[in-house]
Amino acid sequence: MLQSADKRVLLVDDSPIYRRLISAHLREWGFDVTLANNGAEGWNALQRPGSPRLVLTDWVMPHMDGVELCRKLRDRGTTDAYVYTILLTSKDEKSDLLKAMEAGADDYLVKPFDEQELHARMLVGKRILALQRDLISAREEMRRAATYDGLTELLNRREIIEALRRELSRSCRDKKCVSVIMADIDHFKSINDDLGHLAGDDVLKEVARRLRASVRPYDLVGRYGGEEFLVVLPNCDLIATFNRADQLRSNVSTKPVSTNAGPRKVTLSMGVAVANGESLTDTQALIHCADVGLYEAKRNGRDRVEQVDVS
Amino acid sequence: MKVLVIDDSKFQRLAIQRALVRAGYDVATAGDGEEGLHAASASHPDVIVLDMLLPRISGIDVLRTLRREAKTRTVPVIVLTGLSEKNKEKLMTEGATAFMEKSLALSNGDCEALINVIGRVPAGGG
Repeated sequence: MLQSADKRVLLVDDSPIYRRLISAHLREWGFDVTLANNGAEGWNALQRPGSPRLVLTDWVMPHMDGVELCRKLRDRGTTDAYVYTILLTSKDEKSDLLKAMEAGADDYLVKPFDEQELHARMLVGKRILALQRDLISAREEMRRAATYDGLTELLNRREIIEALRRELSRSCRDKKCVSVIMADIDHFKSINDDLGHLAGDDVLKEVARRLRASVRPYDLVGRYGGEEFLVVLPNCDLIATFNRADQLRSNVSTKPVSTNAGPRKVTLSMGVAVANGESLTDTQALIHCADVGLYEAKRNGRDRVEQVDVS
Repeated sequence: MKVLVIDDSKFQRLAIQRALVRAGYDVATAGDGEEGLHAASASHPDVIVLDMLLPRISGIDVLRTLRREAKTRTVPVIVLTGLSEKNKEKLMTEGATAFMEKSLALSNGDCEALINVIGRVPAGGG
C-alpha cells in the first residue's frame, strides 16, 4: 500500500538530540528518514530528484530557519510536486504561528510534543500527499486521453492539426519549409471484411508503429481519420519529403503485418505537400493539397506517393 | 448524374473530381478547351464545370461553342471565376448558368461550395 515515495521524510533540526529522538520514532513508524542540520541543508536536500515530499522542520536554526524554508518551498510555485511541511516549534504565541502558516507551513507541533500526536500529524501529511498524487495522475491521464489516439497512441486528429498550425507559424517566421504527408491504408475495408475488426485494429497499430519508427524525433505523426495518418515534417523540402514518404511507404509494404488472424500485406497511398513560407500557409490549404495528392496516388494504382502542384 | 470538369489545372481537376466523386457524382475531366468540347458532345454530361482561363481555346469560346451546338445547348454550365460582376453579366448573356467564386488555390471549402451550386442548377437536357 505504502509506495516508497510516501515513506520518505526529511527531518530538519539543528539539535542532535532532537534529530536522534525524532528520527528513531519516524523509523519505528516505517518512515525512510533523511536528515539535515539546518534550513539551508534541508533546502539543498529538497533540490535532488526524488527528494522527500514530507518535511518535518524545526523553527529556530542557524543559516536558514524553518519558516524561511517553508517560504522558499512555496515560492518555487506549483510546477514541482507539492511538499507538505510540519513546523516544530517551541514558540507558541499565536502571532508567530500565523506568520509560520502564512509562510507556507501546512501544520505545526509545539515542542515538547507527545509522540502519538506527531505520528497522527505525519499520517495526515501522508494522506494529503497521496491525494495530491492521485489528482495529478488523474489529470495526466485525462491530458493523455485528450491528446493521443487510444488505439494507435499517435496524436489524435485535433492535436496533429494543432501541431501543424504551430509548425506553420514557426516556418513562416523562420522562412523555412514545413511539409505534410497524408497517408491512407489501401483497401482497409477489405482487411476488416476479410480478417475481422480486431485484425483491422492490429493493422492500424502496426502501421502507426512503423510510421513513428521511420521519422525523425521531431517529426509528428497523428491519426487523422479512420485509416488516415498525417505526418508533419518541419524544415523538409519537397525532395526530402518525397524520399521520406517513399521510405514510410516501403517500411509498411515490405514486410507483412501480423494480425490475430494471420499475416497480411498492407500498403499505403500518400499525398505530400510543402509549405515554403509563401504558398499553402494555412493548415487547411496544406492538408487539402496533400489530400489531392493522395487522391491522385489512389487513382494511379495505390502503394505510391504523389504530389500535385497548386496552380 | 454526370459532371464534366474542363480545367487546365491538374490540381483543380483532381480536387473537384475528388469532392464530386465523394458526393456521389460521375465525373469526367478535360485539360483544355478542345478536349472539353469533344467530351461534352461525346459523353452527354448533365452539368459542365468550366474554368475561364484555358490555353488555346479560351473559356469564353468554349462556352459560346457549347451554346451553338445542338447537343450541348441546354446543358447547365457553371463557370469557375474570380471575375468582376460586370464580366459575370457578360458571361450570363453568353449562356453561363451559374458562377463559382474560388480562392487562388482551390480550397476544400470551394469544392463544397461547388457541390452546392451543382445541386441547385436546373436540370438541362444533356
